[in-house]
Amino acid sequence: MKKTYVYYLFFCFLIMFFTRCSKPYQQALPIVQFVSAVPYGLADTLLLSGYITSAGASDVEYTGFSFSNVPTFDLLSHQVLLNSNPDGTFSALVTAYNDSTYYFEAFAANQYGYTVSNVFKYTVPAAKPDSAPCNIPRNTIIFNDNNWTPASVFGSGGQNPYGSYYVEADFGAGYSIDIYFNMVPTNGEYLVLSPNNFVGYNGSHYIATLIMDQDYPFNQNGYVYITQNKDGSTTLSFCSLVVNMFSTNFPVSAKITYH
Amino acid sequence: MKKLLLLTLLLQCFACSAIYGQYGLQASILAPTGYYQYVLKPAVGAEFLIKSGDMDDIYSFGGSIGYAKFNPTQDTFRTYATGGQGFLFPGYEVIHSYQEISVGVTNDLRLLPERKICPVIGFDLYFYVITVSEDDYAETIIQSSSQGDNYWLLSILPRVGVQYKINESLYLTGGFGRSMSLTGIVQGQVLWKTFFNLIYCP
Repeated sequence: MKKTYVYYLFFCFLIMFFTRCSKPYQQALPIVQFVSAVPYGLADTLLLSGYITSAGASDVEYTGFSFSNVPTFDLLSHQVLLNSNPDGTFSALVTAYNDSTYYFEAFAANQYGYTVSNVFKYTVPAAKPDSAPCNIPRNTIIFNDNNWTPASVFGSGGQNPYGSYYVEADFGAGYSIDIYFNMVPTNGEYLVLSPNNFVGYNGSHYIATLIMDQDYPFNQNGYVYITQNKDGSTTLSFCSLVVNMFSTNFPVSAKITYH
Repeated sequence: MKKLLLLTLLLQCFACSAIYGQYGLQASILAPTGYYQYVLKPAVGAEFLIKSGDMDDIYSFGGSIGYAKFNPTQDTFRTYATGGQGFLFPGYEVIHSYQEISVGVTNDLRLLPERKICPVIGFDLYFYVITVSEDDYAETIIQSSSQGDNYWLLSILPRVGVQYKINESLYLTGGFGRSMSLTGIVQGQVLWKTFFNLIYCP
């Protein structure tokens, strides 16, 4: 009888061991953390980083990021899908504009499902105002060492020979300079390329192209600098850019302000 | 392969009947492990057993037919789809029911058949028909609702247990085993099976 009782206890133990409760589903899912959003070397570019703190009950198959301008957003919003890394880290470059607030989240998925991190709020800092590294009086164009005060300066969007925005400075005597951009220019420096090579962005810089009197393109290289002023005006400046007219190179510098 | 298996099972059942062996009922607790331990709760299963020979034989074989119903561990699972489009589409899955009907071949080896309490080693082969009703959704690409989709699975079950002779015509067996799927058209299933059966020997 005693022996039977021991067997009975043994079976009770076995039942307890082998019929233990199922595990919570949440434990099967990966745990993911949004680590950082930092401005990257390229203009309007952020480097996003995430980290898998736990893979869950199976290997992580996908990772990625989603973001939006609003705090509540769908996982498909601006989604970047990545494969998983054995060390748990993942990162991606995304386009995010200066002086704008974004909400980011990282996600990870394994065989059981997906999880998302907490939402991370980040405001991309505004670009610092930039001005030409040469001493030019305000509202002045220096053409071939002669100072001119422009009769009119204005910026305009719409249909242009190059890009989608241009600034025109008319400095009298039939002379004018048109500076073309592929965007409304904001604080920063813009690489000068010839009209033939004009693109909005070359992978490292935003581009400007300049044409004198609508016929004479400026040579490549050098920069145009943009400063957005507190009164809403914009100052455009450049130093010793070169325009070739009638087979002669003329240096041109300027500091002009427009609304 | 399926036809061959069914034929084998039928032949074995007929053989058991012809031998006029033992029959009884089995209750089991099926505890999923691996993938399913996060998805399905342990279930109680019931089986009808038929075995060859007598309770004092060293070896007996037989057949079984059984049923088990599993409940999901939670109402909604956070699933997704990728669809090869470079995006992860968030979604969910709701399991309304998950049921198994099993047909099995059983083999028992009694280590001390003459004793009142006797250790038993067993090895079973099971063919499962699994019926699942569920809702699947993945944003913009999947929205489906299935009512009773059937899948099959072939599993083995090595097991150990102890047999207790109640009297000359009844004995009780308790034990446990690990059911491991060999092949099938559904995610491989591994589960612990703890069982008790009461067998009648006419």
